Amino acid sequence: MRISRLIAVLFVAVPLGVHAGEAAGSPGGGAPAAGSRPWLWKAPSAQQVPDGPGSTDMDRFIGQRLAAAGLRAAPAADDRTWLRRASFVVTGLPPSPDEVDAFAADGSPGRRENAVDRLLAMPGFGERWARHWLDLVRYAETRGHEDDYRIANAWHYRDYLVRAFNADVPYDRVVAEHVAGDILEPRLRADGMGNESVLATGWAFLGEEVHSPVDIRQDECDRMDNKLDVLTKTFLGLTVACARCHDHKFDPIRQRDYYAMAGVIRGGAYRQVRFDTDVAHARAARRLGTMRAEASGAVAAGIAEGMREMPGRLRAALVTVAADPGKAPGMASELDAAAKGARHPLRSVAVALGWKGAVPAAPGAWPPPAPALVVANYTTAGLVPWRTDGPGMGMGVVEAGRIVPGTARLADHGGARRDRFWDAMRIAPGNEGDPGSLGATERSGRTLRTPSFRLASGKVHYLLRGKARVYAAVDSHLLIAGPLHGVLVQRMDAGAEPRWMTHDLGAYVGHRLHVEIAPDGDAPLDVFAVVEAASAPTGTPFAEWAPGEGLVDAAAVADAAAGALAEGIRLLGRNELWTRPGLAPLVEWARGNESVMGAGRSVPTAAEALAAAERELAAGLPWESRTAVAWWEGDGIDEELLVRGKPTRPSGAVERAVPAVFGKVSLGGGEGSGRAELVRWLTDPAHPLVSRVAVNRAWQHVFGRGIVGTPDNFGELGEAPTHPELLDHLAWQFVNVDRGSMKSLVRRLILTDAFGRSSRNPDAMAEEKDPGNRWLHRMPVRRLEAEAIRDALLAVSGRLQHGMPARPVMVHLPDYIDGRARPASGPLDGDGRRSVYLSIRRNFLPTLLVAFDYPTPFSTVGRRSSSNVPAQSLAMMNDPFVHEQARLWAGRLMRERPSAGVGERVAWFYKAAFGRPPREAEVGACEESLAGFKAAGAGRGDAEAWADLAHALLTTSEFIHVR
Amino acid sequence: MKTMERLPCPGLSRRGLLRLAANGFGAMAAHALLGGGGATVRALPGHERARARSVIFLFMEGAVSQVDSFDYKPLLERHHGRNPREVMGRLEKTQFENIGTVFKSPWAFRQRGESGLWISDLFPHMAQCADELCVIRSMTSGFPEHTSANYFLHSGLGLQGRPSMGAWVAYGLGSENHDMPGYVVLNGGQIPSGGIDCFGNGFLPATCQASMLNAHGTPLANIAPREAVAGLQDAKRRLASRLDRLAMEVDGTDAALEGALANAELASRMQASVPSLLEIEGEGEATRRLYGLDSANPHTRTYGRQCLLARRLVERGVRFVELTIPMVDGYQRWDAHGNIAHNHGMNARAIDQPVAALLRDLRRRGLLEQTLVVWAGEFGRTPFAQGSDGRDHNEHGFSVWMAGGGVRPGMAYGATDDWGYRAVENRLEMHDLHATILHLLGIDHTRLTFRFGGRDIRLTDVHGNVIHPVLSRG
Repeated sequence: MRISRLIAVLFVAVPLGVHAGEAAGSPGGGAPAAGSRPWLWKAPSAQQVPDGPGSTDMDRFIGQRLAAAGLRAAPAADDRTWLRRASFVVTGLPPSPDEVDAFAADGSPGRRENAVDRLLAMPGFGERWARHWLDLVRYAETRGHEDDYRIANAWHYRDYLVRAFNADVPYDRVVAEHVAGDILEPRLRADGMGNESVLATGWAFLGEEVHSPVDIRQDECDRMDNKLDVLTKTFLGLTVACARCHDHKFDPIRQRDYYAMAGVIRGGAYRQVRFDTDVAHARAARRLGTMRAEASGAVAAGIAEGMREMPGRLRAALVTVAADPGKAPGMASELDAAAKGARHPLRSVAVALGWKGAVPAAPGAWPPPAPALVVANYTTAGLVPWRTDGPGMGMGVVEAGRIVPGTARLADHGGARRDRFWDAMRIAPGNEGDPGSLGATERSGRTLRTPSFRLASGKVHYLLRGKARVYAAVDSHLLIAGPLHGVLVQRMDAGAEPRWMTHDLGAYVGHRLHVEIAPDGDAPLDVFAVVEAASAPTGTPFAEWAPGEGLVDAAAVADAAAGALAEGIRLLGRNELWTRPGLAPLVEWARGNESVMGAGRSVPTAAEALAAAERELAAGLPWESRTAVAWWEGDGIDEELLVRGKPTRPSGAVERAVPAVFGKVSLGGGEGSGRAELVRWLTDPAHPLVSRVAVNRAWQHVFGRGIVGTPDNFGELGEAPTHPELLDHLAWQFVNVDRGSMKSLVRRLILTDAFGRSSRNPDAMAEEKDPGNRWLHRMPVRRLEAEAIRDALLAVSGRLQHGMPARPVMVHLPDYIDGRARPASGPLDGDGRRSVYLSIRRNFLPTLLVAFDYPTPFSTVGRRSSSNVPAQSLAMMNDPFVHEQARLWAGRLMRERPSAGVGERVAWFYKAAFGRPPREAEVGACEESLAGFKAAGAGRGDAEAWADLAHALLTTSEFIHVR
Repeated sequence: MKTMERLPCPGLSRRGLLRLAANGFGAMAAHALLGGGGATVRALPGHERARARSVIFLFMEGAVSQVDSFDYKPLLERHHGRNPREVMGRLEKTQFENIGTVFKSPWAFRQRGESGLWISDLFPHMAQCADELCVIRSMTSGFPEHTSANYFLHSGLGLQGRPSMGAWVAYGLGSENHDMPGYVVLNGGQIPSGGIDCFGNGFLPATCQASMLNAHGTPLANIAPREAVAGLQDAKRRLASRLDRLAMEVDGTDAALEGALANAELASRMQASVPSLLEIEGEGEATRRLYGLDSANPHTRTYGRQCLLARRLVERGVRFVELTIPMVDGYQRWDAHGNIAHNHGMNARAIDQPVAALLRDLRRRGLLEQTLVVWAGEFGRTPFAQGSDGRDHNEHGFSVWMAGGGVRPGMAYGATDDWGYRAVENRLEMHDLHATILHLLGIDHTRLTFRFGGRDIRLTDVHGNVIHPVLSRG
C-alpha cells in the first residue's frame, strides 16, 4: 500500500514547472544569483550542429574548435592502435593476439562498429565501468580508523554495479536506485528473484566510521557531510559540502541549501537488507494478509461459536467461587492470580467480589503528563507510521479483539507482534555480521522502527511483552564496538505480561534518535508503546473493562461479567470485537481458560483451514537470504542550520529542498525522508546537471579528459567546458535519444573520428597552440589505471579468471605491511581475478594498485591522478606477482607456440602485450637480448631466457600506456 | 616533430610543469624542480627566507603525557589523590570517562642545562640536550581520538585523505637528491592509527607521497632485484629501454612515456642508493654506541637505527623524514590508559637515547642548523588518573618540542594552567605548528596551495599563524 503510493509519487511525470530565479520567495531570503555560468542551471537542449567535415555530430563540434584555433587534426590511427585503445576503454583489458589478428584481417567497412558491439557485450564492460563508478562513491569494505572494522557485506553493492552496467540499466534508473532504491518498485535480478534496486543504496554507508566518538553528534555531522559530499559531487558535479559552515564562497549554494539537503540524508537509517528474499516476502506478506483478512470472519465466527455457552458458565463459576472457593478451584486460582497481577483481565472482577488480597489497581495516567513524549503507540492502528524492515514484526498493528495472525487466538491488547509465520527466515551461511553489538544482520527482516525524536529526559520506556533487542540509534551512530556508546544496544526480557522496560540514555540528553526493536532469539515479542520521560509511565494505552461501581453482591458482579463476555462474543461472531477493545482481554481470557469453567475446547475448523493454507504458502517460499548494507527509509527530518557548522550552535530548522538556485523544489512534503522527492527532481529529463555530469564522466573515460576537466565540480572553481555546445548536445541526446543507455553513449563516443585519431602530434605547431590538447587535435597517450595494469598482466599471462567470484578475494599483503587489524594475506595473484573483485580494506589497500594511484576512498574521485613514481618501476621490476606472471606468460608461449621460431614467438608476445606485431628492429633487439639472457648464467635455457624477455616486455612504458 | 626536453625531475616535462603551475604549484616549486641539486639552504623567490633544509619529525604516536615529561606542575603533587572535580573544577569529557584522582607524576622534574628548562627523569638523555630544545607547552588538538588526531597532526584535517605535511613539503620543495624521494618514513614497526594514509599524498601528485623504509625486514617494497644472476636485471632494463625508444622513433614520443622511462632510471638508481643508505656499518663504533645500537634493549636498537638513518637521509638531501615508534608495548604506543609508569617508561627507554644522539650527531656535523627536528604526539594526557594509575586523552593542552633549523634553543613557549590541563597562555593549534615548519623551510603557508575539489587547499586550510617568538634571530 505504502510502496504503491510512493511509486505514484515517483513515476507520474510531474513537470517541475519552475525555473532558476523564480525562488525569490524561498525561506532565507531568495535564491542567489546564478554566478558567471548561468547555463549550468538551465536544461541542456539540442544544439545546432556546425557545418564542416566529420563523420559524426560530435566531430563537427570538435572540428569547429580546431578550425577556430587554427589546428590541424592528427591523422587516423591504424586499426591495431584503435583496437587496443577501444579494448582498454570499454573492458579494461587488452585484445588477445587472436583478436588483434582477426581485426587486422577484417577489411569490412563495419569492422569498428562490430568490434565496439562485441566489446560492449562482454562482461568486462561492467567490470571496467563499475570500477570507475566505485571511485565516485569512495567504495571500501571496511571503515578505516582504529581496527578498520568491516562494513558487513559491502561488496554486494559492487556486484550490483557490475550487473547494472552490463545490463545497461538506464542512467536515470541507476540514479533513482542509488537515491531511493529501497523505496522504488524493485527491479529484480535476472533470475527473477532478489532485489537489485535496494543494493544501490549501500553506497551511503561505504564511508568511514569511528567506534567511540566522544562528540557523537559532531561525528554524525561529519558522516552526513561525507554522504552529502559524495551525493552532490557524483550526480550534480557540485561541491555543496563547501557550504557546511557558510554560504559557498564561489557557487550560488547557500548554507541553507546545505542543511535543506542534509535533512533528506538524515532521515534514512542503516540496515542489512535480506535482498534475496525481501521481494518474495513482501509479496507473500500481502498474499498472507489477504488470506487472513478473508478468513478472519469465519475464524472469528468459529471461535465465537465455540464460546457460546461460556457467559453462562462464567456467571455460574463466579457465583460458586464467591460462595465457596473450594467448589470452583480453577476459578479460585485465577482470581488469586488476578489479585496479584496488575494486568490480569479479571483484576477488576476480583476487586468487585472483594476477593482476598484484591485491591483496585493504582490509577495510572495515560497518556503520561507533559513533558513526557509518547514516541509511538502501537495499540491502535494509524497512530504512528508503520516502519519495519521486512514482515517479521507483522504487517501492521494488530488491534485488540482481532485474530492474532497465524493463530486461533485473539489479541488481548493492540500492538506490534512478532509474526511467527516468518520464523523460518534464515541468513545464508558465510554472510557477514556487523562488527560490535549492533546486530543489524541478525535482526534483518524482523525489526520495528519508531519515529525519530529528541531525548529530553534521557530515559526511554518500552511497553513490551516477551524478549527484545533494542537499539537506540542516537545520532545514527552504529559502530558500537568501543569503550563508549555500548548502552545504545540492550537486550530486554519483559516476561509474559506487558511491562514497562526502561532504557537509560542519560548521556545523550538533547540528541536525536529513533529506536529499532526486534525479537530476541526465538522468544515472542509484542511491542505496545514507546515513551520518552524521566520516569516510567504509570498507565498504559490499553482499553479496560470493569464491572462498574455499586454492585451489591456476587451475583450482580457475575451478571456484569457474564454480560460483558456475552457482548464480546456476540461482537466476535461478527468479527467486530475490535470495536470494543476493552472487552478483548476478557474474551481472550475466557477463550484460553475454558477449563476453568469446566468445559472442553472446541477447535474452530476455519482456523484449521487457514493454518493449512499458511503452511502451503510457507512451503513455496525461499527462506534463506544473504544480506547487504542498505538504506532504510525513515521520517522526514528538517535539519537545523548550524552556525559555522557547529552542532553546538543550531539556529532553526531548514525545510528540506533542493538548492534554491535550481528553483523552489520542496523535498519535505511527503511522509518520508524526502529521498523519493529527490529522485523525482534528479530524474527529471530537464534536469540541468545530471545528464551533463554523466556524459562528461563517460567522455573523460573515453578521451582521457572531460569536456569539463573537473568532473566533480562544474562550479565556478571547476574548469569551464572546452566544448559547451557539444556537452549540451550530448547531454540532450543521452536523455532523449539514448534514453540513458550508457552503452549507447560509449559506443557513440568511440565511433567518432576524434577517438580514432593517432596520438602523434600532427605538426610541431599543434603542441604550441594546444599544449594541453584541450581541442583534441590528437588522442592523448595515457597511462593505464592501476586495475588495468594488473588485469593486463593476468590477461597476457593467461592466468585471468573471468566471472564474478562468490566473495571478494582477500588482498595480498607483503610481510612489511603491518598494523592494527591486519587481515590475513590473500593469494599473491588474487586467484587470477580482476582487480575490481579484490577486497578493499581502508587501512590495507592493495599495494600494487596504490603504487599506480589507486585513490584513497574518502570522497568522490571522478578523476584519478596519474603519477610517475619510482615505486611503480620498482613494482614492475621486482614485484613477485609481476615475475610470476612473466613466467606464466613465457610458459604459455612455449605451450601455444612450441615449434615457432624466434620471430614468430616475439610477434605473439608483442600482439599480446602491445596489440601489434613487432617491427624488424624490435625482433632484432629481442633476439640479441635472448642470447644474452641465456648466457647470463650457468644452466639457463630457453625457458628462462623467454621468461626474462617476457618480464622485460612487461616493464616497458608501452605496456602500461595506451596510445 | 618537437622532442621533449629532458628535465632533472623524473616524469615531469616542461609542459607538465606548466600544467602543475596552472594548478597553483607556483614559481617556487618550479624553481626547486628546475634548480636541482646542491645541499645548501636556498631562498625561494616570493616566499620566506629558508632557515632549514630538511625536517626530521619524531612522531610520538599514542600521546605522551606532558605532565610527566616537559610540563612541570607542582600542584599535582600537593593534591595527589584528591577528587579532580573538587580541586580542579569542571572537567572536559574524556574518551573513557573513567576519571580517577589527581595524579602526580611518577618521575621527578629538574631544571636542566643553562636554560633551566624543566624536564623530568623520564627522559634523562634528552634532558642533557635541554639547551637545544624549544619546548612548546601550549599545543592543542581538535580531536581526542587517535585516528582523527593523527590525521589532524599530519594533514591539518581530522579526516582521511588529505596530504600529509611531508607530502606538502615534498610538493613545495622537491628532493635535493635525485637518487631518493623527497619524503621518507622510517618505520619502526608501529603503523599509526589511520594507517599509511597518515603519510599519504592525498590529492597531490603521487611523487609527493612518503616512501616507507622499514627498520626491520624489507626496507622498501620491491627494492631488491629478484634476479638470481648478477647483471640480468640491468640487461632486462636495457632491453626495455631500447624497445621503448625504438617504438617511440616510429610511433612518436610523448611526455608520459618519457616520464615513465626516466622513472625507471630513478628506480634503478634507488636500488643502489637505498642499500648504500642502509649500510651503517661504516659509521664507526662511537657513533653506533651513541645511538644505542649496542643497547641491550631491542627497541632502543631499532629506534637508534631509525635515528641514524634519519641523519643519513637528511645528509643526502631528503626533505622530510618521519619516524614511527617501535612496537614497544604491543599496539599500546604511548597510549597509557593504565599503568603509565610501565608504559611511558618502556617507550622512553626505546627513544630517549637515540633522540639525544640524533641531536648531538647533527650538531657536531653542522647539520642541526639546517635540520628542523620536531618531536610531537597527536595530543596529551590528563593530569588526573584514568582508573588508578593511567591517564586518558587530553587535547586541551600538551607539550611538543622543536630543535635546530632556525628555532630558538633552550626556551619554553606558552603554558598550560596550574594543572597542566588546558593551554592558557599562547594557546596554539596544530595549524600554527604547520605554519611554522613551512616558514622555517622558507615556505609561506598561505601560498602553498593545490586546487582540488573546487578550492585552493592548503596544509593549514584557512588557519595557522607562524609562531614568531620561537624563531631564532638572524
